Amino acid sequence: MSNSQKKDKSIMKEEHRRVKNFLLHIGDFGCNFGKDCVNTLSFVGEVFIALIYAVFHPRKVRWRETFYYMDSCGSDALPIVVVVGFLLGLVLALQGAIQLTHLGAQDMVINLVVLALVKELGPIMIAVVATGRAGSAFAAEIGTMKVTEEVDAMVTMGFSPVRFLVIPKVIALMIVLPLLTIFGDIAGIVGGMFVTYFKLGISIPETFHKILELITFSAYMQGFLKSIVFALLIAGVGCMRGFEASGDAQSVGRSTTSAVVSGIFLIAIANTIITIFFTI
Amino acid sequence: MKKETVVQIRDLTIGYNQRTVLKDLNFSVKAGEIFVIMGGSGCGKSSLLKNIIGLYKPFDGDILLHGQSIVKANLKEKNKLMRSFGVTYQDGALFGTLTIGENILLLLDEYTTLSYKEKEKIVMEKLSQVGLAEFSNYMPHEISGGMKKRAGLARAMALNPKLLFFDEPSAGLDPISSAELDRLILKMGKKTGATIVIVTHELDSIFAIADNVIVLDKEKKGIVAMGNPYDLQKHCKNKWVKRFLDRDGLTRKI
Repeated sequence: MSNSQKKDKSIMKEEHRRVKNFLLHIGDFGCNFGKDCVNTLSFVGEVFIALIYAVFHPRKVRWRETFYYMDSCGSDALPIVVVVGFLLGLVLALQGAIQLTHLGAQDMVINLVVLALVKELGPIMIAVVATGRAGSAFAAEIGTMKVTEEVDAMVTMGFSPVRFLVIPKVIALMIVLPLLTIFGDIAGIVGGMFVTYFKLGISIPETFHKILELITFSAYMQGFLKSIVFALLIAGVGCMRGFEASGDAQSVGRSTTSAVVSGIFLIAIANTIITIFFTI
Repeated sequence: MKKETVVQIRDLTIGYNQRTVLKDLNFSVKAGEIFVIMGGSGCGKSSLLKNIIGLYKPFDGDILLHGQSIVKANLKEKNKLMRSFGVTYQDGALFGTLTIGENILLLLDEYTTLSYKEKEKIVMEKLSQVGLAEFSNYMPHEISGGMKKRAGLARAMALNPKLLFFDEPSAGLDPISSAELDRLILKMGKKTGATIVIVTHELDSIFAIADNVIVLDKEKKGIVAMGNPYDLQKHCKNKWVKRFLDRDGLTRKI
């Protein structure tokens, strides 16, 4: 075989190796993705069954832990929710005032603030805050329990980790997140009213009357439904990532980060779907 | 009188992430004996224990507990089998949000219909047996490592199981605490007639309490010796096992 023929043969071999590696990577990715999907579906199914069980057997719910999470995810989060809500409403009204004044529609500023907050920004903003606080905390707690074999102990005692660890968190967040959203919306609306009163000179009674007309049942339900769905997603994803942690501190850190990132991603998708559902 | 076989391992192959750790294991544990699974670091002792207690699924083979397969059992049967034995984990694995007493009460609440007073009495009885009666209202982070292991044992004994598993019970303990725990295991075994399976490589504990042992080898991925530890130390022909049991010839200077 000549030198050039040998060279061609080695180039072909290299190409085959690259194609084989590429195909292996695709195969690996596909298998891992498939496994992840199966695990996620399995987890979702378990949580769903455990929730139904909790509804029919309320005495079996671990209420002490549920109230603990309601306190840490609810009342402890209230100050930041109120501050962020107020500032969001303020900024939204300021930006809206600049643009709407050009069009002579400055009296619509409060419409913009109220509807945007109640239907969209309020639930999302509170959900993102909750993901960072509650979602990461749930993942870290369960991840640490995995490292210290507490989850293994639970399984060998015949207890369902989903019933013991996930359901109290899900119930707690499903109760407090809509309440936090209401507080966040009120704080945001107050922020908007600051702008309409001090910058645009619109009287508070006039603004207040308009707010009452704007917050229709449909507008409120959209925000409420979003906050319930977001609560399920945040608690569910946080717990699921916690269960995925393996035996070391690094994996607990990774699962905590993943809980926040996945939570925010799922909130964005769920928000889009619910908004489309309410606007078609 | 022929003793009943409580744990039966048949042609067991275990591993994780498609990597075989141990293969073709065959051994059994008789009723009432203290059986030790020992071997070098990383040979798969804890993995074997976790397969036996149903936390992992083996690649091949079967595991029978009280004559019932935990590998082939459905979820309901598996949960019932799991309630028939108790497990004490390396660091106790106590639930951090509950007191020591509540950790034990949890099992009684879930699986018995006893009154609260009766359950409280059982909790105090179990804690007294392990010398922790005054610590019932303490949280797990408020007690020492040795106390956590004893509390873990009390919890494992809550439903009076006839089969107990220990994962590295002496790990991290000083010699006195380790000896105290060994005495407690012996006492529990004699008092209740329970069969005890221990995973450890602490030679002092092995020679103090084991009736029979199996020695696992990392490279051979299997059992290289089986029997009474003293007999193995005297008569075993496997050089590695002899080195292991003799602590590689490094004995205490007197």
